Amino acid sequence: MLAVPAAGAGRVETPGLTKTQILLGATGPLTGAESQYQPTLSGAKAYFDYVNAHGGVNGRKIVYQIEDDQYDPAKTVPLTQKLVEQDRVFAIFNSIGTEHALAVRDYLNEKKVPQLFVGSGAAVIGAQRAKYPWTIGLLPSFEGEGLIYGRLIAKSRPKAKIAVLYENDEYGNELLAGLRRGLGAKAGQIVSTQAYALLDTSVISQVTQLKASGADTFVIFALPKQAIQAFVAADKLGWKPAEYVTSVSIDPAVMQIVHLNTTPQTGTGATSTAFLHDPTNPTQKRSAGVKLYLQIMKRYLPREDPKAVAHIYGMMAAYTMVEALKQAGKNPTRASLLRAAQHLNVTNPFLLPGLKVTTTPANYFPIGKTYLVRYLNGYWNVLGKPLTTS
Amino acid sequence: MKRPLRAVLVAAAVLATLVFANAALAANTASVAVSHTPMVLAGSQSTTIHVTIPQATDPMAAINIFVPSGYGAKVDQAAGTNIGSVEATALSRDTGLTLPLSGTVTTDNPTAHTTDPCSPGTNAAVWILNLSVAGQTLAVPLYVNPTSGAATALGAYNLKICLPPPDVPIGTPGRAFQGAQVLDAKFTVNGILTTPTAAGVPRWETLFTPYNPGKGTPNLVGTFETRAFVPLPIVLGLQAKYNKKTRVYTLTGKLTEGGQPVSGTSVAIARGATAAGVKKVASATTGATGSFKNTGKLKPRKTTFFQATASAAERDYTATGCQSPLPATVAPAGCVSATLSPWTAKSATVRIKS
Repeated sequence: MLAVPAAGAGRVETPGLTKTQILLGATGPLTGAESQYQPTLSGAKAYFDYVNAHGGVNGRKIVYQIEDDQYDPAKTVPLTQKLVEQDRVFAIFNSIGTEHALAVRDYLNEKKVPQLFVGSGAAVIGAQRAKYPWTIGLLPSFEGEGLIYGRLIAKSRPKAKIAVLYENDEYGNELLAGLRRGLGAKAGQIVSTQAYALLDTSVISQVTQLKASGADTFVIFALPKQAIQAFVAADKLGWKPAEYVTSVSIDPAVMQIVHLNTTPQTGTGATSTAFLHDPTNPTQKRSAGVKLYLQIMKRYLPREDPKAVAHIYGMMAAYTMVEALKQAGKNPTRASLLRAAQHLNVTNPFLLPGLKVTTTPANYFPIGKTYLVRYLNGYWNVLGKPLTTS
Repeated sequence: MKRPLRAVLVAAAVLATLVFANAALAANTASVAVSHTPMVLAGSQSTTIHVTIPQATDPMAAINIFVPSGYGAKVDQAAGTNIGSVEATALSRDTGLTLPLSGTVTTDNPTAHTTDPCSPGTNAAVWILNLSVAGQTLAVPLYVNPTSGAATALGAYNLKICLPPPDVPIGTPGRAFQGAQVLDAKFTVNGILTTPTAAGVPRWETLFTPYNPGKGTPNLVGTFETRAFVPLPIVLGLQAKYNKKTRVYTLTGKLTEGGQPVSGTSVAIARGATAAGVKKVASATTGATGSFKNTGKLKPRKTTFFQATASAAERDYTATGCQSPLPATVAPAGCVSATLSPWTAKSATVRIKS
């Protein structure tokens, strides 16, 4: 239902919108084994609290209602339905998980409820805009990220023998496809690939087999928990390949845990990509985005860990949402919000310099560029100029 | 699964079983060290409590730390006040990884904790150890109460923490998150505790109650005692003399902890043209009386500043400190360790006009 006539008023009421409030909804793992993603939600909420304290959006305060799906898509569906039908949210924003977003995409598009800035770079989200116009992702294209690693390896390590650990879903498969595309004629130098399932508790056997392939280059397309296990397992096995790891797994805590379980040298020289500021990187501490981030963390999330990059991701997403809401007009509708979200050209302080959030009706990958980063001296150091991912 | 790999995994499982079986059979142990910054009498700047629990020791169900008599405590902070910080490591039994945890120590409203099974009723104060790792924050309550009855013999205040069992099967209600077993925790509170007014070596008693391995029930007869001795104050005195004829200066001083001389400790001597700009130039070692001496030459008509510094690491003191343990009714498994505080001491800056 897009709008309900207000009784006797002769005007149209927009769900989730009053003169003083905008109600947004989200689902995500607030509890459970995958609650490491929770900061993407609390970080977004903290930024909304900051915006509200500074007058809100066109005089309206943003209320962000978050439901705990424990990272179970089966729970995402009824909770999203509740947000739409009972709580009557204006839009769904920043719900966590690709599979989870897909589980409610048909429903939200049928209801014409904006499903904005899904934390995914999967083509299944970003490239199906014609069929699902109400659903827009946020992360750089997974395939585009894989493409960057492929091109880099082909150029800098032309004789590399490559082993790949990847998650057996859209996320891992698209990264792997991008890697192959980037390697081009050298794709045959991938000597071994090993997949793991999202809920696997260990990837040690996969890493053991990858090492046995004789590879000298290890590409880790894994979420943080499995990426940590991969680094540690390689070290314990005495395997010293050149390492590449997906941007999803470069939270400072990843290397901190790796080092606690190996040596401080493990992971040195590893390559990844990054689009967000890192609040722990001393070279970025003077940036306006990091200063604002730390100010908001101190004021609104004093008990949470400011070193967790997921918080700054949540703020980056919320900043984007606020810009879309502003552009949607003083009396926005779901349709005007979607139009605004399709026409963004935003400089976002939480992104690294030179990166922007840009969309068009034909481009549903809002972050189209990213930087190469290398792990040296305890930090992920930004290299060169931004590279295109879409 | 290929056979060789399966064999490796089976061997690993057998090895892991043996390791944990050994852990259950081995004598449990732990240690606690306490220090203040600075190590002075009647000071209230900061107190650091360092708890170490070997991986082979059974996971802990409860830890009761007793603040000795003679200390003061201010426990009326408003809820939400940041009073310190905490750093810890824990073994995740689910992943086999050691995890770093860190965060703030904040006060909470005691009325929100009256039904907590660890310390039911009205607590004088409840502090929350906000332990974060990779964006996940575990809030561990620490209950603060003045002692009463027989417990007054152990100290003036009791700091109590309960930990969930990590070694029960996954899915068991109340199991520790990711099967996390605490190995080491160092937490610092600022402006809360005031050290005694008289010189001495206060003894901090701690009672550890482990779990029965794999059962999730406290092993009360396994309760053991550790002791942390805190010598107060640490005094590093420094005097200077200068002979204009020979241009030789002589620095003398004495190092004491808890009123007793500290022998065999290296004292760094720093000098510079300003009080703030001194740099280490020499060292001396304290003798049996805690005294030390250093000499050198100075150029004429200059002002030179000197300062001495010394430090001690956390020290094992079990042989002496565990004598006369608590009765078996209190600590059935005996006194397993004692420590002496770590500290760093600086003398006042002295000046020589040559």
